[in-house]
Amino acid sequence: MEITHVNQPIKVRADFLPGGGVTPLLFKWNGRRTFRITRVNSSWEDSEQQHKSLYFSVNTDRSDDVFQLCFRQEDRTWWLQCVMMEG
Amino acid sequence: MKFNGNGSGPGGSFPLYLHPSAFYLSSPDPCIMHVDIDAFFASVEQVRNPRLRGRPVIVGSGVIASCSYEAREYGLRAGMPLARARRLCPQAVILEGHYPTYRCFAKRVFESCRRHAPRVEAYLDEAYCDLSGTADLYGTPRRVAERLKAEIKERTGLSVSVGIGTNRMIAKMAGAAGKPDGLVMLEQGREAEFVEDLPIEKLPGVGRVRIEALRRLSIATIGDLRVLSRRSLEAMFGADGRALYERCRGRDGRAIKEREIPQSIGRETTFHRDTSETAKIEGMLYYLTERAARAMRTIGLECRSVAAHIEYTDSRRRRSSRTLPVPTRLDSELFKAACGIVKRLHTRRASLHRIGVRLCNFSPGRSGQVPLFGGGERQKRESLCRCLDGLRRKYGHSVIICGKSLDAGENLRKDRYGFILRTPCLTK
Repeated sequence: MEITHVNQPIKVRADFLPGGGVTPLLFKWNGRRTFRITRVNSSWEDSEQQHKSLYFSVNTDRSDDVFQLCFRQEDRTWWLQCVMMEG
Repeated sequence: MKFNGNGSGPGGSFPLYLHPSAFYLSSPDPCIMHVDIDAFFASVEQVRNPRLRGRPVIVGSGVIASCSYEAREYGLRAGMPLARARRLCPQAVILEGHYPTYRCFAKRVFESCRRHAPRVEAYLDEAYCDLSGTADLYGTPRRVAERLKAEIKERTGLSVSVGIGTNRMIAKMAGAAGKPDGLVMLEQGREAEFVEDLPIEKLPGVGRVRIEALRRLSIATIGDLRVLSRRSLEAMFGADGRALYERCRGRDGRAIKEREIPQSIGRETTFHRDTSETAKIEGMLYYLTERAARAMRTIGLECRSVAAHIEYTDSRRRRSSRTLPVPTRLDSELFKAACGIVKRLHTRRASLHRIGVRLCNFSPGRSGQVPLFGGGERQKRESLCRCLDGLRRKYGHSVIICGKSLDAGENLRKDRYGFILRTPCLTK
């Protein structure tokens, strides 16, 4: 298992639900490549910092790799944190 | 049941009638539920990455911090050196782990516990829930446990083992008997029988040294310990002997407390490459002290004792502690104490493999109290700490790294939480 740390801002299309829930649907990374999210494996939130961050571990239609996305509520930005690949 | 009470009605006093069940409110049967997250770190990794499910997974660096149940089938255990683990299970997936993520998962598990129990004492990967007298409100303990297990599974994807008993020791031991993903409830009155045949090492408070002492007396099971009188156990183990006398009979009087103040806050790491360079050792020590001190200040505490430990390349360990003249929450004062301890400990001309600092003996912070002498400088340092804490809370710990720590972190990856340390530890 190989984990590549990316830590880059990305564009994400997501559903923001009335109760505060967020569901990422697709994201763009590496120029104009679009990754459609096929499954959210897990999500968790970190409220230790001043502003909450939401984390999502997702699978996409492009490969079997697992992507970890982060939504920072302080500036409402999305980040691709890392990619977990079969090494 | 009839009582003569003083009524306030127009006719003066009148008798009060209480239903017998009202008396249970004052002294309900004790009922403790122990919740333990199965193979915590490894399970979180399997939840984050479904391809790891069903495979042996190890989290740790240098030694195993946690391993999945699939890995345990190969004889792997927490604390085992990774080199040995690789030999026993070459196909295991080894991950360094990401501890802030584990803390988030634990927090969510304990939130669920607090929804089902009025009093919860939480640790890193386990919690004790006091369900005494809550049957009317929450349902029977077994139903509560079933609901809690299902909720945790749904919210986090993690499985937990639950034990229910009349005291915390029995609850924990019952839970351990049903691992993984089990639910074991021990009825009241069966505690002594339950622990009787278990090996002596399963008894809380009996470590390696005590096991050896007891084995010399041919004591192999918890039941065997009952032949020793209270006085004998006290003579052997001091005050702990009294507790062991009770525990070997299935009794444990320790109450469940919501812990506002942790016992200690520690931060430690193994070096990327073993080192004897003073700059690197002190740099890492400063970084670890800053992290621990920041965690302490976040919950409004200051500490009176500082402990430090080192481990040489050949695995020999040394530790020591120091009590400060006055409690403090300043990075500089804590580092000075920790650095003094490490200098005293590091006497051999050998490289260090691991280093750690631990703060303890906490008291609530004195907000703004300035000492009579030297207050100006101290106040400035307090302000500096406050500013740094504010910045780090907003932008992450790595937004400012002290110059002293740059040497230590040159080979380490950095994320929002700071350097990604090897085998770190958390607040206890």
